[in-house]
Amino acid sequence: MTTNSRADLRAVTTALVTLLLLSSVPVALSQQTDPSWQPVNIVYLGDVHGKFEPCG
Amino acid sequence: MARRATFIDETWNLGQPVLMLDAGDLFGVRSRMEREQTRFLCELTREFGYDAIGLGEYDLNYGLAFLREMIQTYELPFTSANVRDAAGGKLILPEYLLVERGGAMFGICSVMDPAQSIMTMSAQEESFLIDDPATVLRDLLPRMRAAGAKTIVLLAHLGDTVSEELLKQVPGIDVCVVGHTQQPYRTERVVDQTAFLASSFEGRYVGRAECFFGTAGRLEAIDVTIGDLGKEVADDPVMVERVEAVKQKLELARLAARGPYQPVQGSADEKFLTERECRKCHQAVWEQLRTTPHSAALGTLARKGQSDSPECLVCHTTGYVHIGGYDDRPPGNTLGNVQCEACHGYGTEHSRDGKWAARARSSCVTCHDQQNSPNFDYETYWAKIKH
Repeated sequence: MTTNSRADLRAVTTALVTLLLLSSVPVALSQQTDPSWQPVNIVYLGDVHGKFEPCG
Repeated sequence: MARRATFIDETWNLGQPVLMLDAGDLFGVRSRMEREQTRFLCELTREFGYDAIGLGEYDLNYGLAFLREMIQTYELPFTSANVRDAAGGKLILPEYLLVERGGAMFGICSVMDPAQSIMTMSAQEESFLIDDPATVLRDLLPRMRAAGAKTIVLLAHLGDTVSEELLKQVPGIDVCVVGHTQQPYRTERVVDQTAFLASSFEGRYVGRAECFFGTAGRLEAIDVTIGDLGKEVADDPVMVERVEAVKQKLELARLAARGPYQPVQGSADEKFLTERECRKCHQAVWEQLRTTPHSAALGTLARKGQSDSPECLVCHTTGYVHIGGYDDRPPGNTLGNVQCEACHGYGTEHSRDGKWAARARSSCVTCHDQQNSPNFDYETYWAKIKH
């Protein structure tokens, strides 16, 4: 009986998580397809002072 | 440079759009050799694919003509919104740049601190005006937005403190990359809704900020990585070969540039001991000489961009044409300025019979000749350094 309850609980939990994941998929996808949410990597330097390599 | 290449390649390989920025002072110090090194650096900078380069005072070290030559030859995207040619009153560089990246339109501008002094190697002929950054940006930002910029990026060659003050005075800047600073920020920093980035110290660090922008172009999220190029980044082997080849070429040019000023006088059996050794017994004399122009002779060359000019170094250093004398590399680089041994000779020849004083007296005219010191009179000049 206890085993069954645990199994039931696990099944319910799995279903809830699956439902949660499924419901979040469209949101994630909408962000992915929105070009404004595509990351841009800004690479930045400054004060190079003509150096090929750091001193020392 | 080889590690910088590795870090930048890694960023490109992430497969996301990349915006490459430099906050100014790309160029080297004022000397002819550094100018040649800078020329090579510009060649590589083009290959790295920069989108915008802010203007720092170093970038005018070799004059406006050299800067423009580099811009034209290597297609370098320099920009400055507040540095004008004093003669014509016009901005010397494009006021701002528009760059489309990853579906977003970036408006990128650069300002320099009016407190910074611009000294070119041709300083007598060129002078520049630096406008107040806040005034300039209040006028410029609306025009950049009207021209299509959604995200405003400021390359602030102002240092940390002045940049932070500026951001409080001028709202609407989304990303600020700080130059004229020695402090890299290892984590995300936000100042009044502006992402505040800095990675500096002569190329030791390079920064990468993964930025997410909203539909209005405003920054929504940011994740900063600072690459310490000291050890944790591997060398790019191809770049190592190229840099070494250029270094060898520069070294040959450096040696050849000495021309008739080769270190052949004196003796390999004697040594210059440097003023530090003389000071041990002659503290009072040393302190007196520290107040004379002799002790700052090399500095006057550096200010004029002549610190690698052999015809100048021969009189502004100690033992330049002597074996074991001044050189800009160790150990000879401890013999800068006109030290004791410039007049008295090798410290290992130290004598107490009066010969040293006689030698010093006769040595003055070696440099104080008709061309360089037409008013030289021993008694008058000796009075200035009497010890």
